Amino acid sequence: MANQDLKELADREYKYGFKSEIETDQVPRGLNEETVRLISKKKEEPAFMLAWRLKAYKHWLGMTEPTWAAVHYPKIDYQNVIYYSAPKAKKKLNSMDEVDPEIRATFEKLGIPLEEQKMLSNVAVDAVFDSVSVATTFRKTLAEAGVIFCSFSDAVKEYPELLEKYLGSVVPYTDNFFATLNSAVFSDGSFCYIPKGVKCPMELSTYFRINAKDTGQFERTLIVADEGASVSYLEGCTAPMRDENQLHAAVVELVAMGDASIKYSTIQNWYPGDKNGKGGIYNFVTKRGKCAGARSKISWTQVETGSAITWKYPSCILLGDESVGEFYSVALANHYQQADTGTKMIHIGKNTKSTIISKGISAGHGQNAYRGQVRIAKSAVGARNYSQCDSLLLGDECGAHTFPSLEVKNTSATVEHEASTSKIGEDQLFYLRQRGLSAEDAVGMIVNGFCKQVFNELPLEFAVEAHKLMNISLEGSVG
Amino acid sequence: MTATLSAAPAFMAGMAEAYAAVPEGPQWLAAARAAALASFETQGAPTSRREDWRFTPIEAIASISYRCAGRPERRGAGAGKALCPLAFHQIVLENGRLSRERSVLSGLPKGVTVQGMAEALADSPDALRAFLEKVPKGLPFAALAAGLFRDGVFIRLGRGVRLDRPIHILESSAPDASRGPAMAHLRSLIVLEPGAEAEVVEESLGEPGAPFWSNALIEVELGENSGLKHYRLQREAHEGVRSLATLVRVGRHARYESHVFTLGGALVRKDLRVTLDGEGAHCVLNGLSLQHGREIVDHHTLVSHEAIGGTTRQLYKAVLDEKSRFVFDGLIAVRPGAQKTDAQVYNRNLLLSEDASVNTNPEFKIYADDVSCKHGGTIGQLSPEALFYLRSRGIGEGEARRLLVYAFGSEMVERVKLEPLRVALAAALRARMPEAAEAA
Repeated sequence: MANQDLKELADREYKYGFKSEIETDQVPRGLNEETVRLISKKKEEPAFMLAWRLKAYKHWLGMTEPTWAAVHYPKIDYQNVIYYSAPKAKKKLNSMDEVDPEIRATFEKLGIPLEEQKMLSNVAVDAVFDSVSVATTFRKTLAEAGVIFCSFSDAVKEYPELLEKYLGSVVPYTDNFFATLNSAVFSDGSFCYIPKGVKCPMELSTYFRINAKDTGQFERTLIVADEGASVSYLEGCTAPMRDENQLHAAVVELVAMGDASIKYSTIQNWYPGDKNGKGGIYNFVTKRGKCAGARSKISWTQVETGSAITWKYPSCILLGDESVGEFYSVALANHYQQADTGTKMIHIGKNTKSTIISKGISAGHGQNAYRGQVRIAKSAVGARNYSQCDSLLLGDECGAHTFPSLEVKNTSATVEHEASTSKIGEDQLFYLRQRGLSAEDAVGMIVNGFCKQVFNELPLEFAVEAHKLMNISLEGSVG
Repeated sequence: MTATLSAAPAFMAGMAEAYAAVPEGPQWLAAARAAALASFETQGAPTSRREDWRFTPIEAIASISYRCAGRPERRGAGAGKALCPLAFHQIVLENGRLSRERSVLSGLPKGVTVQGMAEALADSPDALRAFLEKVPKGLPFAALAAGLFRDGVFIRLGRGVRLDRPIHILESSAPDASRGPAMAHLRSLIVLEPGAEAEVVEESLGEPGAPFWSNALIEVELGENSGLKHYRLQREAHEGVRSLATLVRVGRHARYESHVFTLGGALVRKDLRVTLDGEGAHCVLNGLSLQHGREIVDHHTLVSHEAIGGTTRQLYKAVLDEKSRFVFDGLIAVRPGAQKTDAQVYNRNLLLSEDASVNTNPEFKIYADDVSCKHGGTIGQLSPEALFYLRSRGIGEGEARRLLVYAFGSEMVERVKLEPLRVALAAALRARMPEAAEAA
């Protein structure tokens, strides 16, 4: 393969690197009890929320940052982070036209035409700009079906009883260092409730975007599907070019009651840092779903192409009998990116089933680790798991690591794990090139084929985006 | 130092005594022992809070205080019970010390040394210095063995020497019930010079009586183009505890083949580290563990590919009955530049009881791109279809189960190319079957 091509591709810069100047309302730098109280006050939260945040904050003080992941980064100074930043409060908006033109322009640049989506793709978009929801579309249509889909701050005011019941029920405030930090200082996020027997009439989507300089982004998403309900949720993100590393510690909680199903798809394209590993987002995310009822199903699909550091393990607790957990993931680490990602499938109910398909791609100096756990509890009679983790290496300075852990305490369980690591075959490349494809297209085609099993799980709009994203992110890694 | 050693959990109580009883040796050896013990103290005794000891309930033995084992009371403990045929060259260790009278080493070919470690140290200490001065890293019990060993086995094959018959190392432990729990620390060394080839059968056999803890460190050094077939059979007594660290360095185009059969022991912890540091080095790691009762077997293997074109083929199997537990942690590390690495690691487990459990972690750390690495782990039970098939052909349920379990385990026995040993192993496998079948 021509090294010139490679070099050219490698040097291509982050496409979405721009930044929009919007006035923001921030709390002072640093974290103390006062910060937590201030955030809660700014968001006009009821007393139970403040109490919960404070419990989390106090617990966090006694915790130490985990070091077990295969990622390396300079020590984070948690006192040097701005924990809350919101675009200056504007009056309530009735239509998209009232949205700040600059914010809208930003969305346009990102290729997220809110209005077009409204008409063409029938997707409701809850756009989170920095930490506060700016515009929510389709809320009315959803309301007719009885679906609640709103920002977390609205939910706190409008549905406190639901929040009190479900908040922290899957990821408790004591869970882990980053989730506890999030519990104390989370600024906003999305809340979604699908009532009994309702099939959500459209795919729900949130675009996250980090904007204000030095602002930690602490999102919290809570999705509850009541008995027999079903929903598909899309999360996607891009972030502008930044020099200083930004901290992102989100929490996503999913609750599926009996016969309910939740499909959660993510495309993560935070700013990965430049080609020398400078800058980039630190993405420490806790995602967990609980299949609380019988025959419930939770499916995670993720395409992770961004962030300097990805630390993320979307998990399923399979509590209900015959519940199903799925995890489909593509993680790409190019340049100096480090990804440590995987899943946990915890089988507790009878005849529970889980599938793990993980595809890791390492290029440049990227380090990609799959870290997973399948645990079959004693009560999980007839549990089944199938895991497959494949790694593709592009270049001789990257790394691919696999750390699966299978723990089985029930004899009727069937657990299978397979993994392979290899580079793109010269013969495959040669085959495609002699049929007239450029080196880049050939690699793109092979990589997309490698990821196909996961892309197939994505909703259509996302699948198209994922293909493009993969090609953009791979630039410079052909080899 | 002795004060710190005794301050640890109960099972550490006898360590100071063991250190005091260590035989005199050259100055450098005393320094090496001290360094090893210092390294142990820095690490501390393992607990299940350590990641690599997470599933090994070392606390189970923490309350037992072991004393140094004396010579066995009865002569010839374990004699006649060895699985390995008698016609081999034989070196026997009783309670961790060489038994001259039971060893049969008269017919050794030229260029072959087989000695007790204590003997070898007395004869030619300088030849051993380069090896014994090394302190194993990250292996607390191996560090303890390096500090406290009294004896062990030393095998050396000169350049191009091929052994006519395999060497049988028999380690028997016969604790004296009246003296209470006993322990032995051993350090062994097997060196094959370039082009040499050998088969070594290492058999450990525990007699009941009192808890016995055998803690060994074995180093294997394979020169260019040499080949070692290393068969290891282990049958500890009911209360037997065994911790064994094996460090293997495989040179250019050398071949290391290990077959580990674990057929008993209350707590067995085996660390196997293979470094493929010559071009085209090759290793085969096979393992079979048959467990029942509350037996715990923990295999931690690490194969480090450090040179171009290394290959690894690993398959570990376990059959678990009653309340037994099996742990497998198999890491393949591919260092930068170790291109053309071809590694396959598989762990397959068969659970026969509701209360048995398995933890398996096949892992990769890969820092080179032109590699082909695969690993897999499965945990399952006897297939009802297969059972039905056999039963529909008039085979009783118990017998059908026995057949299927035997078929699962015999794959590993079939890989033993040493025929008399294979026959003996197949018989041992069959002998372990009925218990498995009845409990299921």
